[in-house]
Amino acid sequence: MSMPRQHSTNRRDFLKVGGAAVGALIIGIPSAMAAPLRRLDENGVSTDTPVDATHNADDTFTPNEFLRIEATGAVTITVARSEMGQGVRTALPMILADELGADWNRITLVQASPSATFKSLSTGGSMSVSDMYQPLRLAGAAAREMLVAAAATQLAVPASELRTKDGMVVHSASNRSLTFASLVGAASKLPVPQTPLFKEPDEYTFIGKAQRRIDGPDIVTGKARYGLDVRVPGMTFAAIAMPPVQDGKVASFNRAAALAVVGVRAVVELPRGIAIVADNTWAAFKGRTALAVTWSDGEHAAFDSTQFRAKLRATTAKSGTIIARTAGDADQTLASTIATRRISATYESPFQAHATMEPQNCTAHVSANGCELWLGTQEPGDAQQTVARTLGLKPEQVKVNVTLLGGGFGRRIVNEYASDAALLSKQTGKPVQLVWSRPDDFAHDMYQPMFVAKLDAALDKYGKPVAWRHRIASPAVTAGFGGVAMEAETLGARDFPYASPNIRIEYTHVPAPMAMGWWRAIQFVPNIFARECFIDELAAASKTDPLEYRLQLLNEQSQADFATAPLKPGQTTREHVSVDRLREVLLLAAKKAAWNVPLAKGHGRGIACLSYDNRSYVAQVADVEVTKSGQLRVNKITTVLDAGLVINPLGIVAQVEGGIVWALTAALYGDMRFEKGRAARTSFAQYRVAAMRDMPVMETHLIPGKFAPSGAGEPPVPAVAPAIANAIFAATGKRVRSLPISAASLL
Amino acid sequence: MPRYSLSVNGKPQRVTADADTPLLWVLRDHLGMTGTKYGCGAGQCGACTVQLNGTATRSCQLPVSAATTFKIATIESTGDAILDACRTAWLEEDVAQCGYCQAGVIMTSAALLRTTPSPTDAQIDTAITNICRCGTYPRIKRAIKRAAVLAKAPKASVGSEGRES
Repeated sequence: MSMPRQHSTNRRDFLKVGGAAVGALIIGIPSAMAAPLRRLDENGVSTDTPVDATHNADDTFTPNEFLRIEATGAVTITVARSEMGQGVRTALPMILADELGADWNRITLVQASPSATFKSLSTGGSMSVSDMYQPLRLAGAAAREMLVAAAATQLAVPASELRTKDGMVVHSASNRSLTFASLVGAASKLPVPQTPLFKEPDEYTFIGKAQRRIDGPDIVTGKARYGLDVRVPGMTFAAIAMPPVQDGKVASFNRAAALAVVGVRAVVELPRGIAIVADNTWAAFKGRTALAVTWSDGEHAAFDSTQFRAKLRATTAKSGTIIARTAGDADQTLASTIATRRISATYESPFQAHATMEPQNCTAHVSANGCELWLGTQEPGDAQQTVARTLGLKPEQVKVNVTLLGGGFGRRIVNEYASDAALLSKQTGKPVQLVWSRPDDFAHDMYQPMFVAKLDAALDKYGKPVAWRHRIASPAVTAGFGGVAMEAETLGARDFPYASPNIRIEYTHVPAPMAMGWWRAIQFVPNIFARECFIDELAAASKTDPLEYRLQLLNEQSQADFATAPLKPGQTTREHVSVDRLREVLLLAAKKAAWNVPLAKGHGRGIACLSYDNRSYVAQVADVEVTKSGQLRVNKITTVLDAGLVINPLGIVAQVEGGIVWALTAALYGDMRFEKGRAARTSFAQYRVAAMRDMPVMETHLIPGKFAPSGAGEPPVPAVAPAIANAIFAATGKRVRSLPISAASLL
Repeated sequence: MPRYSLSVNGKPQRVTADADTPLLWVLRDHLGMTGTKYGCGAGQCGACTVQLNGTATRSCQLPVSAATTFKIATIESTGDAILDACRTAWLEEDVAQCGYCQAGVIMTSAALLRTTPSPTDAQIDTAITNICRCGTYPRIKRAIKRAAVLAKAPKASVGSEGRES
C-alpha cells in the first residue's frame, strides 16, 4: 500500500497548467452586510449558471468567459481561482468590475469548474492576482467599450464623451445615463474589441480602495460552505485507516467488529488504506477504531527526524550536488582567507505541517454518466484528471465543484484523497464524503521539509564579504513532483542580493520517506532565515549596524553575475533582484520602526528583507524582549511590503497579518517530529501553533504600486523569523540558529 | 438507537443517535446544520464552539446524551443582540480570511461579552484560545472590542460605521 509520490511537474509549471459557489443571500443587517449575491439550493450548492461566452442570446451580454450581464442588469463574474482565505473572490471581481464600471452590490459570483474554457484554475505561489490582473481588466474594459458604443448610438453622442459608473453609461454633458440593462441587447451584437483602452489609475473606483470580503456575511451566519459542509441527497460518510509509516501495509484488521458498529454500512479496502462507509461521520470514526488495524511497517519503520537532522548536517559538510549559482571562486577564496576573517554558521529548520483548520476531505458521486466531485482544492484540474484516471473516465466526465477552502497554504494543491472518495462512491453506489480526522491530517500531510544550511563567508579588511557560500540540504519538495526543478529548493538563497565577488549556492537532495509538499512560502522560509541571520552575523563581525551593512551591500555590483548567467533548468526568467526596491522597503521599515531609537535593556530590534521571486519586496523589523529567565516576547512586527499595484488594501494587510502569524508559528513552535517512521505529533496539543496570546503589535505599510500586482500571500512570511532572531541577538548577544526558537537557546 | 430531544436555536429538535455521538456531529450530520465546524475532535481548536445556556462549549466533547438539558445556540441562531453585534463587528473589521474557524471564534466571543461586557486585552487573550491558521487574531481582538461598544449602543448605530484600511 503506498501513497503516490510522483507528480508530473514542478510547482511553477503545476500552477501554470493546472464550482459551486457557496453562500446565500443575506438580507437584514445593514451596511457591512451588503455584499454580492449568490443563489444556492438547499445543499449549499450554487444554482448560478456558469458564464458561457459561446452562447450569446439576445437577452444576455456575454462578451467573454468572465462576464455575463442579464437583461435585468445583473452582472455575473466568474472567479477562476480558489478562495482559501487570501481574498481572491473579492480582489479578482474588483479588477473586472472596476474596468466595467459595475455596481458592486449587483454582482453575482460563479466559481469556475475545470472545462475547455478554464483549463487552469491553479491557485498558489501568490500568483492569483498577478496572473489574473491582465485577463480580468481586458474582460472588463472590452465589455465597457461595447456598452459605451451601444450607448453612443442610442444617445447620438461620441463614445469619447461617455463613461461607465455603478452599472450605467453616463453622459455628463447632457446629464443623461443608460443602465447596462437597457444596453444588453445592442451591446451583445457588437464585435468584441481585442485591444480596449484601460482606465487610468485616477479613474479607478474599486482598485486601491478597501473592500470587505465578499463571503463575510455568509461566514458570520454559518452559511458559508466548505468541502466538509457539502450535503448531497443520499450521501454517506467515510473515514479511512492509512498506514502510519510511509509504504506500510495492512497486517490484520477486524472487519466484523467494524461492521458491528451502529451506522457502519461497509468496509472497503482501497489502495491507500481501509475505509469505513457509514451513515454519519461519528459512526465512520468509531468503525475505524473498531477495525483495530495492525500494520506491517516496512522499510521506513526506523525513520527518525533527529537522526535525519544529523544526516543533513553531515551532508552540508561536503560540496552540494547541485550548484545553483556561482560567481568568482568562493571555495578558493574561503580556503585562502585567514581564519580570523572567516565566519561559519549552521542554520536549521524542522519538518512542519500545514494543519489547515478544515481537515482534508472530498465528496464524490459516481453515477452512470461519470463522477461529480465537491471539494476545496487549489488544483481543480489535477483533481479532475487524477479521478478520471482512477475511474477510467475521460476528464470531461468528472465535474469538479470547487467549494470554499478551510485553509490551503499549499496543502490543497494535491488532493490525493479525491480518488479514494470516488472509488468509495463507485463501490457503494452512493455519494460519499470522505473525511480525514485531525490526526490523519497531521500524520498524512505533505510536509514542509527539514532544512539544514551551512554558511561560510570570508571578510575583507573593511568587513565586507569577499566570499559567500550557502550550502543547503533537505528532502526536496520538487523530488515528489518530477524533480525537474530541484534548484527551486534554493529560492531565497540563490537570489542572494548582496555584493560579493565570490558567491556559491549549493544544494543536495537527501530523500525522506514521507511526502514533501508546497507550504506557505516554502523554501524561502528556511533559506531567508539562514541568509538574513548570517548577513547579520557578518554585520556584527564588521561592527556595522545591520541595516547600514545591508544598504552598503545592496548595489548594482551585487547583481553583476546575474546579467550573464545562463538560465538554469526550470528557470524561466533571470533572477535579477531590484536592489532599489529592496533598499526602499528596508529604509521605510527602519524609519517606521524607529530603528535608531535605543531600547531598554533586555529589548532588541532586528531587521530582515527579501525579494519574493523578484516580484514582491518585503522588509520587516521585529521588536523583542527576552527576560532574565529566558522568556521571549515578540512585541511588534513592522512590515513594509511592495507588492506592486494594490487591488484591495484591506485584503493585502490581512495577508501580511496572516503571513506574520504563519511565520510566528514556524519561529516559535512549528516542529513535526518523526519517530519509528511515524508522525509523532498528531494533535494541536502536541503540535503547537501561534495563538491569540502570542500576538505582537503589527504595523504594516504598503508601497504604492508602481508595478503590476505581484503577490502578497507568501512574501510577508520569510523575513519574520530572521528579524526575530536578529532582534534576540540585539537584546542578548545570543545567536539563534535553529527553529523553532527554544528557551534553552536564550539562556 | 436512543432518541433525544434538544433545544437548538430556540427550536425543539428530535434526533435518533448513539448516546456517545458528540453534539458536533448531531448538529452537522443529523440536523444538517453545518455552520458548526469540525477542526480537531479533541476540544483543542475551538472550531466547534457553540453556546449552552449562553456559555461557550466545545461541541465535539459533549455527547448528545448530555446535551438535552441545555438551550443550545449555534452560529446559525438569530435574535441574539450580542451575537448580532459580533457579526456586525466581524464584518466591519473584515476579520475572516478562510472563515472556517470563525463560527467557533464568534460563539466564544459572544459568550465572553455576555459575562465580560468590556474585556481587556488580557481577558481576550485568556478567553480566545481558538486556533486560526490564517492568522486573523489581531482583527478578532479589534472586532471583540468593537462588538463590546456596539452591544451597548442604541440599536440605530449598529452597522453604521465603516472601517478605513
